[in-house]
Amino acid sequence: MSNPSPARTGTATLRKPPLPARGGWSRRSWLADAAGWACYLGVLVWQVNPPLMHHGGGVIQFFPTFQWGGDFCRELLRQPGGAARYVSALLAQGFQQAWLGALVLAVQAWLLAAGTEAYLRVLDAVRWRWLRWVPPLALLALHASYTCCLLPANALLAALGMALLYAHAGNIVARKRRGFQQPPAWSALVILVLGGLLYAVAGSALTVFVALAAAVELHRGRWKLACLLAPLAVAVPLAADRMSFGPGVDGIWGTIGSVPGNLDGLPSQAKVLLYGLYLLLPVAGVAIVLRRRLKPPGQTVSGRTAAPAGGGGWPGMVRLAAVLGAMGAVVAGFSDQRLKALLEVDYHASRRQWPDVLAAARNNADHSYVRCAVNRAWYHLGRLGHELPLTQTPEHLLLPLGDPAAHWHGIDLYLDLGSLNLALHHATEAIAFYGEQPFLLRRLVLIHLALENIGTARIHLRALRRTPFQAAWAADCLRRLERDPAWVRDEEAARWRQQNPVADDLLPMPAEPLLLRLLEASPDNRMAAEYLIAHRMLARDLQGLARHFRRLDTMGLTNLPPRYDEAAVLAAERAGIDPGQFRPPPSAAALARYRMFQTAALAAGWHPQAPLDLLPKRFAHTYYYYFFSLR
Amino acid sequence: MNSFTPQSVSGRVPAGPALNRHGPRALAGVLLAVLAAAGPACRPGDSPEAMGRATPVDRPPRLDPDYSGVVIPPNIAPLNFTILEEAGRYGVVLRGAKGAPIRIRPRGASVVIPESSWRTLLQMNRGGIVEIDVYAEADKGGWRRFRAVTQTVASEPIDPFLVYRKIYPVHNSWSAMGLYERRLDRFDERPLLERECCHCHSLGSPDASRFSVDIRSAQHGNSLLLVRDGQTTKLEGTVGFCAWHPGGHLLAASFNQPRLLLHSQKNDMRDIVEFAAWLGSLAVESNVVRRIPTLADDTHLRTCPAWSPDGRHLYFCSAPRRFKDFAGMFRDDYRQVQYDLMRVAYDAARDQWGPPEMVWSARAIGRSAVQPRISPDGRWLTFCLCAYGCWPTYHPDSDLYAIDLHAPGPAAPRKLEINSGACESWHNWSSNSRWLVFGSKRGNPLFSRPYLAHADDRGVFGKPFVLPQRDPAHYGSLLRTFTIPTFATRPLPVVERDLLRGLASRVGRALVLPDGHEATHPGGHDHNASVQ
Repeated sequence: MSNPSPARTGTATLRKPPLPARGGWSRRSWLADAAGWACYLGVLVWQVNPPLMHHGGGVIQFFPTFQWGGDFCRELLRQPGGAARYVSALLAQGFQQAWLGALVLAVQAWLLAAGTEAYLRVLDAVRWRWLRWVPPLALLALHASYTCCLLPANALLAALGMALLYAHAGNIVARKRRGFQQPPAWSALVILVLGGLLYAVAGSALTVFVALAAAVELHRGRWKLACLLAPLAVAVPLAADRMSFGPGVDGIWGTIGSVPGNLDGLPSQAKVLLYGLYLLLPVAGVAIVLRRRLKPPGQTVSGRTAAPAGGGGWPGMVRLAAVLGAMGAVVAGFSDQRLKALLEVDYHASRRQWPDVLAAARNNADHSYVRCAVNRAWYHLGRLGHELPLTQTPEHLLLPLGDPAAHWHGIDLYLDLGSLNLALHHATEAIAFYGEQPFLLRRLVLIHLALENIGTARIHLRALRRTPFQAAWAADCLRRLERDPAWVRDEEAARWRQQNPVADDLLPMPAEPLLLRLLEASPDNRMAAEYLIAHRMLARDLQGLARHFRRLDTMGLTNLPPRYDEAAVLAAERAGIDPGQFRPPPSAAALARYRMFQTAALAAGWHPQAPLDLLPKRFAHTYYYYFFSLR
Repeated sequence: MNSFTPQSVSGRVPAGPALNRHGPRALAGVLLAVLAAAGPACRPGDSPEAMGRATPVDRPPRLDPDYSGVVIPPNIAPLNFTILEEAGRYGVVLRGAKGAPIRIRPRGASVVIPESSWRTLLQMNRGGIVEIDVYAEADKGGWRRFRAVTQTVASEPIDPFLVYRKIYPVHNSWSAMGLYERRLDRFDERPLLERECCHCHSLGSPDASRFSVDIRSAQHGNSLLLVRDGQTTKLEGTVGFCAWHPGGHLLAASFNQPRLLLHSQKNDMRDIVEFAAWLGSLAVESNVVRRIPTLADDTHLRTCPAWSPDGRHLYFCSAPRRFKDFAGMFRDDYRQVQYDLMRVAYDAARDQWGPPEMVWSARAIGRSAVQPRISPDGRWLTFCLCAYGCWPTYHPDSDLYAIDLHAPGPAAPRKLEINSGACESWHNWSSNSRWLVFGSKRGNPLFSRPYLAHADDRGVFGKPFVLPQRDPAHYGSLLRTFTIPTFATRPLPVVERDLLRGLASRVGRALVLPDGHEATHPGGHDHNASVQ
């Protein structure tokens, strides 16, 4: 950065104090900072857990996908900001690994912090350098609320980097040619070139760059040039538009006033944070410079006063405590535990980690998708008849349609049940809502292999082979296909084929006929049998229950699980069904429990609409309570 | 010339396109070409002597895509391919009776042909043959030379542009799709509309000066965009299939009530059933739709309008209307809906319609004929024939047939030789009536790919070939399906922002339908959405 003469800039009365060496950083303050960043990384790993964001759980739509190869690259580079989009998509794939994803986010935050400090140094506003922690904290708030903001943050980083390059470009020339004063025309040309480049690389981050450059020029005292920069934010996209590259005259205001990336569907809190992030440095930069300029002559301006050695006047440990406190406050204020639970439940369910599903479900037990996953977990752990959560509706077993997330969650549910075409339907629809996510592609591969659509499966496998972290699995499948072209040696596919209904029906079907079709194709489909019983129980259909109870015969039960036992008692007692129909028959203990329930209900004056606490707690989880209440 | 020489060009990267307004791409292409040229030009063991001693193999090499024996236009982009033969190294020589051969030494099995050399070779051998020699070197040395692959270069050029949609093969939710224009003598693909849900498009003339796109937009609502001489007009409302009258003043359109059915067993589980379908005409200067008076009864479903090139007949498909909604549809009723080919005369000067005439009854043989297209010379009526229904794209048994309209006597459909065992649909003729583009699912039951086929003056088709791509493995990992490929002789006179601007326009007029008639109401099985 060149220093214009006092006469030109009108800064004759300002005495510029010597800058502290390396910004006044002592070894202790470096250690404090490093400790702060280590904590930041730790929070990202353990609290945010980037793989949850990558998995998406049917909540996060259009998480960036990436493919190696020229086609994907060309497709992105067609639009302004394509390079930032490409890099962000690549970096986002790191989220598949907790540490790598956290490292990507931490490095990004660190670069933003370092860039912010460097920019403030350009403005001689070292005292304000505590502002460097604001972007990382804003990003942490976004990450804690599971908002993927890699693209906006990278675009901002590019704008900041370009502004620093602009600010230092004059210095480089000045160093070579002593006494060189950067003429305004030269500055304007540099800005034009850098702005054009930035627009191609990072799209609408151009606006931030122009504002940052204007603040630099204000600081240099070149007011006219600073004011002339504003039209540049419009001129560059318009010039690009002439090359069929930009948004057109109509879209220009939307382009220069927006944050890069698709913000549709983001919560308003996240949008405020993103816009705040983008406005922070331009507003702060201009405000600092104007404040300094508008001070009466002769008055010392605090912003130019350098921080004493040791960093910002606060001891390192105090500063570290402040940063940690701020991090804690951000995480506490912005993290959404219910959302996290939803993501965790689906993440573990997709990996068939059933105990973890049950553990994660505690923080969001009422959510319908969580309940659906919990039902699957209980089934796979052999506890559905013991633990069937009764405060739910039959829809929680098989998921109602009409919601994008239902498609996401329906894939594994129907794969488990053995209905390949319903799983295919949900996976295909999910692609339209969530993009070519690796999770969806892997499921589509498995479904098409099981359906013997080998050609289609190969196409999906080749697409996966171009995806980071999935290439090995895809290549392995392709190799297996070479040895086993019809995919007949795979046990899982063989099971699905055997369970898949033979008859061609029109989908979707009501739950009962669907499950019966599955049982017709494969009578030993235990999940279909248990879900049929559970569905009838939740529908309070005692006749239907009695009709299908024999489906449990194939399970070889010696005793009925307690909830099924209670349902059998009710069927015998209230619907007059012969207890001998149930095999094994309902137990005497279940019958005794029913008698006690009746007695207790009568004694408490309980009726179906009464609150639960009128009954002794031991009945709260019985089928009796469910059957008689909440109708 | 069957041997290799050290002057071989690297086939790794094609020559970059000339610097034009697509600056970044051009620069990248030049950069890559320079990098490729900087690679090793010759390696030990591939000397002319070694190649000359290659052992002949008495079969053609296996290539992907299979471009052997195809008839190609003289103005097509290079047919890049992958060699499926196991080998350590490969060599390829393309040669014709005239001109210098192209020698390529690919670094892998993917063969990328230099564009300028390819163009020269095709132009010099127009109406002749191009032969491709493939050499493969075994691991322990020694080259094999396969029997030459031949390609016939037709004399007649193909229209230089192809407009198509690329979509995921989804069921109900059409949120990710795009309309694109591909230049056929190069690999450039231009997005025309990527950010909106664009449905059927129809070109009103080969030079694409008139065309329409049907839009279902969450942001801007449903509308029909009419583009004439670069000017976009928005009409609010939806139509089904459109066909421009050759005079350019009238649009014939079907107004349908399609619903999606999903099968629990079929591989492509989608199916479409129509509850209503009627034909109307829209004068492009107005927003008023008039029902074709001689087709005004609701006893039949009528869809897929297509004009004869002279504009004197409107061809369409017709089936008895068996049910009006799901409640009236019994279990397999939808399998009984079969369409005949019909036409109705039209006098443009008097704006008068004649009575419907049967062209060919597919129902008489228990089949359904849909998607009629007439070649611009007026001779060939091509259509899809499938078991039932109006949507052959979802029927693996759908095949392309042709009727010679100049032949005397009753219509005699002929199954075209370009069919495969998989679904063929979405076909269109080039302006010179010598090239047919169609979507085919050969190779996989889900993704339709655009194939091009040459027809001679007797209507005999050559072996079709898939639209060439820069990366020969492009289709191998592409998860989108191509629909409604349509030829154009010139680029469409709009760019994406023009269409978006037209779509966002608030001055659009609403389509006015006849009393008691509804616009097209696409719907899914579980929630309202559109169909493909």
